Amino acid sequence: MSSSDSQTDALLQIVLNVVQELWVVKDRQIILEQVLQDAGIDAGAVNDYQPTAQVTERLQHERRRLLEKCLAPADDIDGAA
Amino acid sequence: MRGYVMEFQLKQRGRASIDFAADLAAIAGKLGMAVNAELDGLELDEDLKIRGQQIAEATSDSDAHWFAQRIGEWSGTTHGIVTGDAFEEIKEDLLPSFDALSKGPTQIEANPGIRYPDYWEGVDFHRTTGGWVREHQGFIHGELIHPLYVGKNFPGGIFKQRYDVLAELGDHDFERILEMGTSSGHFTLQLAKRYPGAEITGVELGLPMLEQAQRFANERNLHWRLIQAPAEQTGLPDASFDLVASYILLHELPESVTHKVFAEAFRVLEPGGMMFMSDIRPFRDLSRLQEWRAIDNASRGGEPYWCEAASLDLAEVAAQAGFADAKSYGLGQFNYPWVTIARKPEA
Repeated sequence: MSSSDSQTDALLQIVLNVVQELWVVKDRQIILEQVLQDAGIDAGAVNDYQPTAQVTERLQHERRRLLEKCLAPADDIDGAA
Repeated sequence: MRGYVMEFQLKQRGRASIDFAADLAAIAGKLGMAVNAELDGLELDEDLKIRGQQIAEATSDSDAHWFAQRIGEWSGTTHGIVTGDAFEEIKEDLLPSFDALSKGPTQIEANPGIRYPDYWEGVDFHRTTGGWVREHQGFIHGELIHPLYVGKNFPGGIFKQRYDVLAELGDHDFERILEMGTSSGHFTLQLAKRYPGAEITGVELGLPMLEQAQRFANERNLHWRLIQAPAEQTGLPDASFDLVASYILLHELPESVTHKVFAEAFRVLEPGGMMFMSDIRPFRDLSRLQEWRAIDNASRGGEPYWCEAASLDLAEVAAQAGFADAKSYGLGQFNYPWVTIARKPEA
């Protein structure tokens, strides 16, 4: 993967990976907010929620996993991510 | 969360966006190191133009280089936007605290009619959206960008660095200190800690930055004099300080202004007073690859005067301004920060 064409190909793959991940999250968020509403909980509390140390750690782990997955088409990214 | 000055709570979108930008910037940095490793051993020419061609050729097939450049570009242009948006989400919650911390022993001497220098006005230093005059930029830079974005990628403790560097001045005590380029008060606070009995004056062009410095001081009940003025023309009386100091100001100035800043420091120092400036490593201390990397980063990182600043011999500039015993050297494992110490001769 060295010519500019193959780099552009990789970039498209990255964008599609991101869109896929974004949709998974959006789907989950819509379902989650509906579940909360059905259970009588105001979904606006999500916006104000302050993560605990444990949640912060989980978010960090998941965020880095997402980045690794999205950027996997870059050959040298494994060590970097 | 507890910021440097106050408690605040980011909303979900702002927090997640900043965390994402910081992690992506870290990846760009690691990719940059991978590129350095690829270039290791390359015999680089002394001439910068030829060197640039050599490196362009050597990196033309490098995926790490291609991705590092583009990811770095995204982080560089986005960090100021996501932190500004995160601030807007919590702005109304913060305004009462801003109001409370504007009251106290430290007051700002604002200059509403100030004419900003041409080299400064309209420049988004570090590519941070809005430069140092955007409303509330002191909070955005001091409480969001620094701890949550910069601090995550440049560990080492911004306060510790700024305190430790003062050890270079030895046991000498100072009574009247002028800080040039106060920004949001990070170094000012360390000067106040190291010299608790000193009267501290700070000059800075960006009023929103001074407002954050004021919050630092008032939150700790400290009395600083904060003046909106350029370092090269403070308007302060002759021979009125025994120490003039700055921390990472000089690389944000054109060479000609650095000469004026040193002349101004000389003017406001009393005979025997000390000048102490901490800044970036000069090119002469860097390998040819490091120098190219610094120039490349500066050209893409909102650092319009880096090359001029890194080309200067600050001990020589100090000597030209009339200082004695001028010396300039790097600290620690990475020769950073690079300090310049000089003394105004006795009359």
